[in-house]
Amino acid sequence: MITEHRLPWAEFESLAAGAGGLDAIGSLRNGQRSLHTMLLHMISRLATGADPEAAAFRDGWELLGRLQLEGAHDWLLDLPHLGGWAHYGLAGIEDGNVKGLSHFAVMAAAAAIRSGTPFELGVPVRDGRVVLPGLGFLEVTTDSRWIRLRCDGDTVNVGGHFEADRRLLVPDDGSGPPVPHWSGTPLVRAVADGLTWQVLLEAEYPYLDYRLPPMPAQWAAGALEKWRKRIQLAWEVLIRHHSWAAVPMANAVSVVVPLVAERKNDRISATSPAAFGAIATSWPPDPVIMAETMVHEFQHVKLGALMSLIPLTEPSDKLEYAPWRLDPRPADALLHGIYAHLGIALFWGAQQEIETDPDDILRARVQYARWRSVIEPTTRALMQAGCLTEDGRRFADRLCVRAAELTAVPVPGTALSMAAEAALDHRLTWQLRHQAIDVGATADLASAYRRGEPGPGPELPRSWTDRRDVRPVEAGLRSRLLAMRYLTPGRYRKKVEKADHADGLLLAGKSKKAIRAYRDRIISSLDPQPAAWIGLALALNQVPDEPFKNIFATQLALIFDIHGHLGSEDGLRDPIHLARWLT
Amino acid sequence: MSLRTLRRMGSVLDILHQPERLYLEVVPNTLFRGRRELIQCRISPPILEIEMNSDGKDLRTIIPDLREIPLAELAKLGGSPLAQSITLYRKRLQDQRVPRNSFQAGT
Repeated sequence: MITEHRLPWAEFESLAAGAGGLDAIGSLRNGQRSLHTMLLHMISRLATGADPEAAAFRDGWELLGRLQLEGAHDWLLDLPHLGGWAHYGLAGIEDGNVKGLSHFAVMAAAAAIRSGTPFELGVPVRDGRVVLPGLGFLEVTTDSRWIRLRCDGDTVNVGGHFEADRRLLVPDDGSGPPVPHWSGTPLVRAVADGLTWQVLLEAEYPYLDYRLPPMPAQWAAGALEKWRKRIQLAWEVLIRHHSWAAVPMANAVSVVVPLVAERKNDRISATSPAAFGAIATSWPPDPVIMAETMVHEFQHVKLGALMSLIPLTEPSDKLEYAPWRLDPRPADALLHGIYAHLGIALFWGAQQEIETDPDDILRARVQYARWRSVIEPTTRALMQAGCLTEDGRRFADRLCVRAAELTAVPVPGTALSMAAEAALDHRLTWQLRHQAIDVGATADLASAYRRGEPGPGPELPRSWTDRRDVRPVEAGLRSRLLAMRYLTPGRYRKKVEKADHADGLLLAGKSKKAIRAYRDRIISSLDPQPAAWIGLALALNQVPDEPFKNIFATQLALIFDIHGHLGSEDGLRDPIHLARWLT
Repeated sequence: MSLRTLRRMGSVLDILHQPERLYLEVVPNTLFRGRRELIQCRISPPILEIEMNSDGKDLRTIIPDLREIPLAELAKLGGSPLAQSITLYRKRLQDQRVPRNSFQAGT
């Protein structure tokens, strides 16, 4: 008789509060082991027939069964490579495509070599290599697509070409002598305060690529050593100041996938719920950012594993605003983002207490202020959208309690206002892009305004979220400067002079002059000026008693659309006058 | 004894439940002169609903626990929770393909 996995309430609650200790990670891992077993079983039922790919899978499956009897298969079930591959493998075979199924044979072989279990298997050769996931690769000289691997428990025979001591076929921690025909996957052993995080740097594994910009084709000279040092320094930051995340993370995350960002100042990072225990990231500019990235992505790792065990969201086509993305997000992605940003807020909340450089203190404070403030309203929006399961609502309730605790912590006013301004700029840019409004109704309002009729009162036209860009709006230099102001203040000081006249006034806090400059630009241009409209809303928001700041902050898309219907008639183009009429 | 009375006596420290009873360990205040008591009381259904709120319960998951099942035996479990989970997961995979969370930032 089989029963389902159970998750203790205390562990669920601990995860929902943003943390999750070793017990919770253990439960998630146990669930992943069963999930991976189930996926492999699903593939095994479909991998029939004489195709060599399917046959190689079956041989690997049989070997895994033997490893299980010896208690030596958990290593493979825990390997992120397995989950990454199995999802692709199952998706492929469900479409009738057996290509790549043989990869499972090398996975089982890797587990057997590691444990010293005798076996003999036909395995695929790719580009002169036999990849042993989680360990490294053997270099072979053959034109054949297949080769026999045989292990007697001590020695691995590679197609009769050469033999290797199986104990030497291990990841490369940089300390051992070279092994002929063998390249170990780079292993980083970061140590701080007596605690160790062992993590593989997996740069070439195709099932962990996340369909993102490429991993480096090969390690450039010195690059591997740079990554080792950066991970070591990030681990020191994590273990000394963020142990709530560091200890469970070291227990769960065993692979870092280095990515290459398209542009120098871009950063990308990713996880997949398919690959529990793997985090992909581009080169982080400093150890603190790497530590933050690990915390951020580890939140996704935990939530992905939790959601594979307990559905928290209902299937839905509804799309919502995410304060960290410029595209509308479905419920599950939004919940992921909320959870990740809870981790980010917790990270910067601790970091603001330990930074000593003024620029670093500013960065920590604004990051903390910005991300803690979005958790509760975004979670409430998700709850109101009706996209959560019963367990999802429990999870969301606990998230909100945690967010309220963070929001109660005092933060200096300068940091609060910088965070609020960046958040408002983001929200308004999103509104203009994705808040669609009934065109006929806005045209009617424009006509009523032109005729001098009274304003519409509280009955405003119907609006909805549109996945497409409704109005062409660039997140331009001003948005970048608003972020740069606290993320990289040194760079901001160099770049701010490139801002245009109105943006320069806004960024200097000369609010009334900025209002005039944006207003003049909107009145004098017959082309839509979405950036000036957002700038105007931001400038109005800087003035404490400004009567129109609220309508610009909440109804910018409506004012913009009505204005677009007014044409070139002088006297009708003043955005403030139009807002007064609408208020 | 009502929960209100119990709370007047001290802070509720821990709540353990059995099907019909609620056990509350209370930190005594002056009434108990430093003694710690385990108090058992029958509770009415409305309080049960409020106070229990999954406390102490495990959450059921949609993944069968396969850790102790020999792989060779899995094929024999066709009509089991495994089959249901497979159906659920297959649908999920068809809907979402291989999932991913990605983050991009640039300044």
